[in-house]
Amino acid sequence: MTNQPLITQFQNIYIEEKSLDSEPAQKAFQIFPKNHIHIIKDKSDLKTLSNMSADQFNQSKKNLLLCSFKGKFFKRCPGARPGLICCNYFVLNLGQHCEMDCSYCYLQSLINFPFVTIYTNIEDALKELSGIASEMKDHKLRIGTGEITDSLSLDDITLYSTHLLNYFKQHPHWTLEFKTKSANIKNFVHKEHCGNIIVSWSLNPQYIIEKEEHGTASLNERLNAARLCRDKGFPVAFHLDPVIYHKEWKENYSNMIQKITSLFKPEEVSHISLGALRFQPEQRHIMRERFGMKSLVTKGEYFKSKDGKLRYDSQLRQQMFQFIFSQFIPNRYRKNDTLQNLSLPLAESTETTGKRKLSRYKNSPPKWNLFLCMENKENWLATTNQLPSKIEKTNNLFDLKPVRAFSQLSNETMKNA
Amino acid sequence: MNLTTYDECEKYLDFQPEKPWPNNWPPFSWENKLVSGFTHSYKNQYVLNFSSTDVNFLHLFHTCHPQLNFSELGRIILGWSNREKNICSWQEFFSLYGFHQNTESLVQQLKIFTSTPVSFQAWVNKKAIHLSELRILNSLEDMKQIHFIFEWIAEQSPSHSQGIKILELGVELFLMSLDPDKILKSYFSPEKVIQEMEKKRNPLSSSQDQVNKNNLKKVIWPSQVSTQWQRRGDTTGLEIKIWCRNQKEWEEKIHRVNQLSVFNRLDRTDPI
Repeated sequence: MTNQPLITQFQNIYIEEKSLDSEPAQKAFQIFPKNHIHIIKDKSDLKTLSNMSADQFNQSKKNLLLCSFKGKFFKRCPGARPGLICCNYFVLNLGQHCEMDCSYCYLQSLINFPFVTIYTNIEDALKELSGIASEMKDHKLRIGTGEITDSLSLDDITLYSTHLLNYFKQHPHWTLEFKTKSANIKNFVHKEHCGNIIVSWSLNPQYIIEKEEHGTASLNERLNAARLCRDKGFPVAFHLDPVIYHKEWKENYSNMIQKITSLFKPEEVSHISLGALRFQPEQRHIMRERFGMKSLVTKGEYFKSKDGKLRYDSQLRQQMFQFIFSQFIPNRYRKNDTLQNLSLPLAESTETTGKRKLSRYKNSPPKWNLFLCMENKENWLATTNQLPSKIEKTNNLFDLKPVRAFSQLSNETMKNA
Repeated sequence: MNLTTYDECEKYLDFQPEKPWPNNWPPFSWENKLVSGFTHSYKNQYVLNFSSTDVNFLHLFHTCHPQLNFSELGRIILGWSNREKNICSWQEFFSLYGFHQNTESLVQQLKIFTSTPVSFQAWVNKKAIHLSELRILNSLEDMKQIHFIFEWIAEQSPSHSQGIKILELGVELFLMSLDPDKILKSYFSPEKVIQEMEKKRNPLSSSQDQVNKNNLKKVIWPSQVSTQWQRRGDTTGLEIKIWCRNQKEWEEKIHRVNQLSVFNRLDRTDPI
């Protein structure tokens, strides 16, 4: 299931007057028919809509807005909550909302502005990043652009991939992560980069993609794009998130993981995150209205967790995580489809040894950099027997020094304002 | 401002207000459109008529009816929308009643609510249920499909939270073709209805919980130790209550409970 062409995706394109000279606006004039384009004086002329109805939300995906953004582009990942073990991910928001239509998408409960929005003033975003760079020069920041929008699905309008590629050459100690459900890599994949751009895909079995991830690229399309990125020297990453329970979940996730492990070596994959389906309680209404009760998402069994979100039963989550982790270990190392201990003797990567070329499965299982996303301590321990700070390769992702430094910087900025 | 008669006034703004207009007050009208005192007892009486130069329509209406429940608001939407030209902007109207955002969605919600049985609406108004708590109704094509749920709630008059829970579970079971009607015909207690509906709605976790409860019953606990398998949010576990009179008894009972290795007896394996 490939993305719809942009020209048929959007019915209305609104361009703020002061954004008319921007690159995305110029691109929009090339892509869309003139009669679909409306010039507006200012974004404030458009109304916000809290608690959108299903119809309003459906319509919001057909409206594209190009405007400037006056707020902060750079933030800590909004998923971080007390009681959850969270990594040191930061986000750079260059837009808001998404034209694809996953039934479980948390934007359904987050968005109160009925437009897929592209912020046209990327130069301000990069200026803000440069300010952060001067204040936090000793920290290795992990920054992603795919939190409240898809990093690449609208790249044909924004071309932000190339701008960011060039910018991040100046900051080789930072990593930038594109997170996408598209296969739209053509604008940057053949360009030069300094190895700090990670291209990541959210993955689910094709059965789930067809049922629940409408308008996204197929599993094969995503993996093929990942292979091409890998071949061009880009580190890739995968997000097995959300894992969705269904009757054939073991078979489907096992097949998908087999595909991943047959196409990629652990050292080619920067990290793989794993998270079970979760959402704000109020989101259940709009999902039900938009997708009915036949969706695997709406008919799931959910309970309120400590962080207030609806989640699968904790025991079920542990079982799913353990199973999925175990599928990354070849059969001969596995015991009864459960992961005994992630700290088994591990094969060293060629990066660390340099000289020896190791076969993938010499004497010990391959080491994938797997971690849980937005989970509690109990589930970490049940799945991996350790907390992330103790797991080699993962511990750097969970080093919270950059997060604390940023928090301090933000507090100081607020005091001085 | 002048006097006019009841008969001379247009009455289309009548929304059947539930609070009667005070007997010792004349009805009010605005540009000869009756705004209050809609009942027939005011026939042949004089009406105080305001013009647009005296007062804004919305302010006069809000002064006459400072509080309206959702049934009344719904009747206003249905009654006033039929006119060629709306007498006021819905956005301004609703903001006077404390609703400041997404008028379109609110109007839709009210129309849906007004199509539910009057007895159900009375329960909603009595229990001060907010419209947002009835959002489950948006998933239905026709309110008549679940008339049996509305009737049950109206007759049994459960509490606010119980009624909302029964409504949501009932509608979901209906949409999943899992026949909530049978449960409602079999039970009158809201607690029992919720329990049965949850079992049907969450069969996987319910059966797992039941297996654990059954296994727990097979354990022989020390005397004056009571246990209960409980679900707390997304986790399940064992609550143990121990009665003891002194430190020695405490230590003895804890030791004996530990020896039971209860969690090894519970079915914590994959049921799927």
